Amino acid sequence: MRRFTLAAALVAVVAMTGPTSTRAQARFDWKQAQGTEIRVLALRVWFTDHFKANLPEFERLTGVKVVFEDYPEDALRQKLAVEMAARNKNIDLFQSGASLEGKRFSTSGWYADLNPLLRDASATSPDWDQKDFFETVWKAQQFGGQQISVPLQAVTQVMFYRKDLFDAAGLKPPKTLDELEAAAKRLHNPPGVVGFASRGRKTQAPYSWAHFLYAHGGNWFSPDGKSGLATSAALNATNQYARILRAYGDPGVADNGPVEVQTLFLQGRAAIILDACSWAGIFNNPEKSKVVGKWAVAPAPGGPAGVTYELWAWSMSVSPFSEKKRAAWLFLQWATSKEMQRPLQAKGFPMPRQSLWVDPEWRAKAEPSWLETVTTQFASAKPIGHPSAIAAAEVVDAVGTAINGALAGKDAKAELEVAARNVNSVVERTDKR
Amino acid sequence: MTRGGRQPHAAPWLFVLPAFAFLIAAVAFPVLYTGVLSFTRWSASATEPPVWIGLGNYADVVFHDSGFRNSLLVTAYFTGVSVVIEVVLGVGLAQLLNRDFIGRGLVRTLLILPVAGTPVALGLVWRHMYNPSNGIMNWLVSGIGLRPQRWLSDVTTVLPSLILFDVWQWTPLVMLIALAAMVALPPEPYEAAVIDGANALQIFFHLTLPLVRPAVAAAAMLRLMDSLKTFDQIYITTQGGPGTASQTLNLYVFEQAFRYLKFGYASALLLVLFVLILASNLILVSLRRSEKA
Amino acid sequence: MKQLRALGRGLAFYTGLFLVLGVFVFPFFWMAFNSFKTTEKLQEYPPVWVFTPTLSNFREVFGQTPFIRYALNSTIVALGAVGLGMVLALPAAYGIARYGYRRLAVGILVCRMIPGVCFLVPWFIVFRVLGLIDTYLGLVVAHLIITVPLITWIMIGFFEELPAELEEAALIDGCSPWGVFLRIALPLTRSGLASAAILALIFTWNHFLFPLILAGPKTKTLPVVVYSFMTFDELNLGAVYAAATLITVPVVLMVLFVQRHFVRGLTIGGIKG
Repeated sequence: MRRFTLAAALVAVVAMTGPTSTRAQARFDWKQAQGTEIRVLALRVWFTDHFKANLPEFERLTGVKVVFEDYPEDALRQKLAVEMAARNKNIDLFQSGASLEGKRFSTSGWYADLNPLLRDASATSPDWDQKDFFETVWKAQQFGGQQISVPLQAVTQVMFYRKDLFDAAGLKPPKTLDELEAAAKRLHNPPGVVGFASRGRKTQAPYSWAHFLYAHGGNWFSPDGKSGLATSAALNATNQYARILRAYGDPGVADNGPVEVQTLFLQGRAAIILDACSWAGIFNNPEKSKVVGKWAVAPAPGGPAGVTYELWAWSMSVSPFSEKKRAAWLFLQWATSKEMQRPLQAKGFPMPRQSLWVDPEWRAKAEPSWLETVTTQFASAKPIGHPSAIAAAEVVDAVGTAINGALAGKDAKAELEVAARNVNSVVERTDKR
Repeated sequence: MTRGGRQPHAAPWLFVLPAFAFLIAAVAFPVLYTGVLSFTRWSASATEPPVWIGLGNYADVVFHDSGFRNSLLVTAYFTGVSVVIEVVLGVGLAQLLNRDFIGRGLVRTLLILPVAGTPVALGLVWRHMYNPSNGIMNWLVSGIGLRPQRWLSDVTTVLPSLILFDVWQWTPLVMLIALAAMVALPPEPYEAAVIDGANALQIFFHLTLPLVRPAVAAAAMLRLMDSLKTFDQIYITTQGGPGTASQTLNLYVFEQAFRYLKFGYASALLLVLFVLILASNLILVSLRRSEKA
Repeated sequence: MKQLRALGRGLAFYTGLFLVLGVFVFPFFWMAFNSFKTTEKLQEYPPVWVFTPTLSNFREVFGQTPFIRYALNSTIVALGAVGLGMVLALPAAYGIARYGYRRLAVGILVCRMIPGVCFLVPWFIVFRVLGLIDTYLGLVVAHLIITVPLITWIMIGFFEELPAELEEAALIDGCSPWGVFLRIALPLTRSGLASAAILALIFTWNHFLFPLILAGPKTKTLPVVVYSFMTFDELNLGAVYAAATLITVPVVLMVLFVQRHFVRGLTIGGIKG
């Protein structure tokens, strides 16, 4: 629970009392930045498509013109790097993933602290209702005492499995990773269906592998800050991950990123995947999916050390170089408001606002196993998918290289030791000041 | 070929001035910027300025960077093999086409297409063709009785796959240059050789090849320079993966700069890459000159 | 007997030729062929040869992106970079060919050796200060680094080929060197100009890195557009094929119609370089 200033508390009280809230809304001036133009750098993904489609509404509401640019992940990061290095004043809002890049970006001063705007009643609409966000997700957007971004979604890694194949084989959804391995073996039927599909590309694999790491009792870093890769937990996790994929995965695994894993399941060619819960909407889209109605969801299986559920959220931030922070904040509020997020939630995409999850009409239409799993996992999910380090990308790549080596059949112990050494020297250089 | 002095001396260098001035202006700042940054450590941070570390980056590059060494090996393998194949295949194809036949013009035109295609678009097509699960390459390969491959998804096959793509795209360039040289050759030596009883192979190796060598060498130099700079094709297909198996020096620089934000270090690597390109071309040029002499 | 051998050799030649042609042309055919399949069909294995063609991918490309505008942008930038490039490079090539500035030629070639990545941040800083980000002028100037060395390098060979007597005669008649250049050298190397222009056009059209970083929504060019169909976790394969085909069609047409010049430019530049 954050400490609010008196003003913000008053605003909250006013907002919570029914009829007067409309008066409060009428008092909030959406047109306070009328006539400005802002530029947003975003990721090319389903929720930004939604923003683009509704831009005219925002422009009508605020009189602020929006130049919206979206790119795939790598291109977005490059453009961001070039523009921030050049201290471009012409960038007002941009998207990033706090658990991956938050520490790095905030140490580099690439985020504007949103707290002043949040506490300013003239800047933040009382209807915006910050407390509506899942607390875990909201907290994940904080670094160094600053609120660096607002989450645009809430994602946790869940297990999607082919209910039809499981039923036909008389199998129950696995509760442990060992059971997952056995189920994958049973259902592995190339070239039609592979038992288990997961990310294998150097820059992507660690995200999925991290679940195995924590399930075996491992950690990205030990309490003393050293890499947790040279431990037996990491070795067991890596061995199991590589073993399952080598035996029951698809031949292109070493190149698999989220696109490939999603496509495999969508095409009905994977029996089990462990990935973003936000894909449920696509799996139920009859235009694109061959597995409509054939899948179900179960909580991500645990390992010898139990289970830790993963949390991830793309989020949007205001650039510190922006000269139109108020106008930018108006956009951010609008984009993450209940009204804007509701249609996405209705399509099966997980939003970070709790109120959208309790709507009974929506709950009735949501796939029950998905709803149950995601709600369970959100309660305790942590951003374990990425290392909490300034040089997170380098750490990820070092681990990814080790995973690639294991996938290619090399000795995982040796690979992990090399990775641990690399991670330690990288972290030594960047994180220890 | 300088002219003797009836015209004012001002004229000659005025011709080259605009282009030269532009190139200096366009190139000077980036090169200086990169040069200066290469002596610093900087993570593109807005709060911390670059820190001067002298030759620290260069020392790291030479002594401590296994990723750099890997990228050198990858670059040497990729460029070495693809340029050699392109030159050999290009000359061979030129010889094949160096005769009158129906549709000669059309054939030559069609063969230029790979060179003119947009690398990004072609890269995406090839990437799908190489897909181990549903790409056409495995269909073709199993059609002629071989085992399906993993192509871009396996560290042992990724470089050959990329080399195949590169050879496909640039062999026509070498072929065109070699063919133009062959077409321009005088017929007399050939007539003499035929009279002397030489067969086709002998004619090719002892007569044609030496005569077209300057043109082929020029083509090789061009390909060498461009191959070392290859970016679009590898970026759109493998991004340097799996792991770092296809990470050429150019891709490695890109990763250091835009994924790790190690601007200072990347600048040092960039200059090393530039020196490498320069050096390899100088070597080729001096080889050519020593032959002429 | 001799006739049979000749026939056999002829057959072998044409078969070999057909195979070679097939290899080099197939990916283009495959690209166009596939753009009429749905994304689902594209992911089937074995590859589908018989199917109901659909225009949905093309509709998606035109519907989801202002494709025509991007094509226009590509055209403007390419024409601009080539036009301005000619203005700078032609006199330079002439000067080098006629007055022997060999070292300058090497200098220009060296510029071509600089990796493109080197330019990104410094140019972004300069362009931002000058207000050239997301402008046609900015992109044209950026692409000059491609066109000027290329055109110079090709034209040096063509200018060197010109017989000296014509120019000498004109000079004796009192024509200025600039006049000789404009009125004698340029018209005589018309085919070389065409070659250089076409090559420069194609390489500018195909360029990817500069527009990615220096262009914005107003000036985005075609190669960057392909990116629009690669989202974070979805790959719209059908649209990617359609976009790739649409991007490649103009260059293919350019080559098919002016191949003679294209070839001359490549070969002269290649031989004399």
